[in-house]
Amino acid sequence: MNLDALPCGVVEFDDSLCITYANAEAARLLGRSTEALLSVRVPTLLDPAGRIFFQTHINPVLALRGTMDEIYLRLRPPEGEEVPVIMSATRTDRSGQTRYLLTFSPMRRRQAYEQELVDARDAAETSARLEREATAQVREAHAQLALNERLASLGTLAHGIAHEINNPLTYVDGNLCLIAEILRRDAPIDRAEMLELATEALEGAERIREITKQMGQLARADELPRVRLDPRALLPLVSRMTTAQTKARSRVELVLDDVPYVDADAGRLGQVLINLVVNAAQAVAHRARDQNLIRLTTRTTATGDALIEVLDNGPGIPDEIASRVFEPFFTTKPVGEGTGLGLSISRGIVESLGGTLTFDTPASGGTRFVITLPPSTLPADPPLGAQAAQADPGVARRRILIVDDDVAVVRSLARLLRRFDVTTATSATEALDLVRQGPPFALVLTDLRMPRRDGLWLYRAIVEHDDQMASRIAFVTGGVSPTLRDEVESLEVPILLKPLDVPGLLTFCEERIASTKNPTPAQS
Amino acid sequence: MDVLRRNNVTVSGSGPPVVFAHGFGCDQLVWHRVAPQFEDSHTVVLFDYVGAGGSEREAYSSERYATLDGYADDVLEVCDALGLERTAIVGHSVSGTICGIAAARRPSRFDRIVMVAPSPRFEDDPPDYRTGFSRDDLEGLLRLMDANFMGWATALAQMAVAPEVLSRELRESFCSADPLFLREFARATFLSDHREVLARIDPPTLVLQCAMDDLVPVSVGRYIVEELPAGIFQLLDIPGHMPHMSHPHAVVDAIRRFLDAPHEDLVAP
Repeated sequence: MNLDALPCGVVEFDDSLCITYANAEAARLLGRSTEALLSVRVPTLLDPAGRIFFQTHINPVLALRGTMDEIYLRLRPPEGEEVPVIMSATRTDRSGQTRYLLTFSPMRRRQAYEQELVDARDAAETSARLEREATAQVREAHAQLALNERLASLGTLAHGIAHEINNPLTYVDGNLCLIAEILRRDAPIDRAEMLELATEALEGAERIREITKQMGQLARADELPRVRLDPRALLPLVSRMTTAQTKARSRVELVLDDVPYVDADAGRLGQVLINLVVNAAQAVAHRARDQNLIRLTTRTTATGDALIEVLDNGPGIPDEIASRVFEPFFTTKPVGEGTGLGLSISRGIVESLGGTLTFDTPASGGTRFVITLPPSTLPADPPLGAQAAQADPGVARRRILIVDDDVAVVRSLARLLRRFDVTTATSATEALDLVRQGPPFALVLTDLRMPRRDGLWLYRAIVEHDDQMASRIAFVTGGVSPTLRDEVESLEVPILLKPLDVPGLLTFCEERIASTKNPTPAQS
Repeated sequence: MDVLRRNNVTVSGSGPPVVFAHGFGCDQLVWHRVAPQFEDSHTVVLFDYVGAGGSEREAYSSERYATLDGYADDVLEVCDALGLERTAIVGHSVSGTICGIAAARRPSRFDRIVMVAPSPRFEDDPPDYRTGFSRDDLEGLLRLMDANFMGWATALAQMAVAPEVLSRELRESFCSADPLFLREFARATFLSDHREVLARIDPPTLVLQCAMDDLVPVSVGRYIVEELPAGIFQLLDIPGHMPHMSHPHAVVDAIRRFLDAPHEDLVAP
């Protein structure tokens, strides 16, 4: 058979890639005579990329495996354009000598199609990448705005707290000034007057303590675990916290019907309600105060869910924007007054709690936002100190160790607990030394966050020293940071939150110490 | 992590160790006509870079192997795993550079290096460094590989498809290498410049240069030897870039003479 008649290029070459035969079609495609091709090395017939690919990849595979199919390469004739070809090659052994046979056909048109495919894929990759980047940017912006929103809502809270505290602070401050002045005077002291001043100041301090305790729950910037929560207790707080926004604009009514407990983070749910009340106050702002009403309602739905409603008698939400109020960035407020994230984020928070946030326009006019939440599935909290300490007769009955790096706190606690035998330490290491020295303490009250060694370290060190002590330690803290929360909770150590409720603290200490009075059977 | 399995390490023969490192485009099989010749006199170590041949493909990471440093880590980790305190190493083409990087980082680890058809930079850098390849030529290689694999490399990377899903046939058609690996190895090999490392390669180093190498001109081989602190140049009258495949005996002879030479003959007094 005459290979020159074949409609494809045929070339034979040796181990050194030198051509030993070429047919007529090969010569035509390569732009040279068949004689001129002899002893030419195959790579030199290719474009630079092909030269590398042929030598580094195709040649070894061909030598090792014996065949290589459907390779795409570009021939480079001495003159004229490059010729895209599809090649197949095989190894043969001819009288003990290794030879390779190569066939190739041009594929200009196919190559154009394939290039289109590769280009289309590249374009798709590029647009997919751009889309991913854009999505990531939007997500980041969304998170940032959610934080801003939270900060704005904390601002509202701070305003509310300042407002609530200022009144009692005025007479705590005033009364203490008076007491100091009386004591400085070189005159007989009216004990009844002093007692009255001091009692009033104490009442004021008690009010402040109550406020910061309640508001503290709403003001935590970190996300707290869900707890069993009474919506009826939350609404009065929200109402008080938004007084600054509502009092000049509207009456605020609370209608607290029976409602199941829900599982929520009070701070998050409070944020949602504060947003809704502030929105309501803005909705009625254009009219005189006596025409306006904001009503906060709790009740139980027909399906047994908890329902919280925020109603205003403002102009209502126009139909044309009703479908958009939950969109991120949607706002009707003038530039600078709102990011528009309030409702979108509020809905996100409520949905994360397994609930819904919707709105409608009641027949009586205005706007009603409705939150529904499933009833609580968490068990009711055990009372503080429920895990009674193991009895241990070796404990000095009323010996308490107080540990806090803040000397003022140590002093104040020592004063409050003076009915007990109090020892104090201002660092965890000092406290550990005291515990080791003995006699044993009936109770150790330690701060969690202290420089260098913290309360957790102290807890572990004490337990290592004497595991009986594990039930006689309590943490006193302004709040557990999210990083420590899991660890602290796993220890089942009682946590007393600052500011401390003094009667509660005394009761706690009495109960704890009382529980150590009963000797265990083994030791009786 | 089992480095020996990860890099498909095979050990044969006995005597002082010699490691063979394959270059871009294939795997340890390229040494099949050279390495066995040393089994009588040496402990012969063969391995595949992660991504190539019989290596564990799931150990491949685009970050680690974005530059030749990641491949040099493979070399050093294989030596560590075998407890090779001092060894001779033979690297082909880009592996000459990779072995050089490894030696510059851990000078005491290698007592002799053989670079077969090495090139520390494939792109032209006129007027003093000539290779015959422009940047566009070399990027054309990536395009050519894309066209041959129809872009599977990047498609697979995006879909995070496990290498196992590739059919046996498809895998073999890539010289037993992932298209993604080949593409990224090509980029690290052909678009990088490691000339600066040459001056920091202390062990005696033999540069085996082919007289008619379509990829690496003789001038590049001479350049390397001038830069090396203890370089020895040997020109093989052989065409092509794969002398260990096309002319194994010449390569074996050259390596053996170098490995057998007394140390004092290889270092300048």
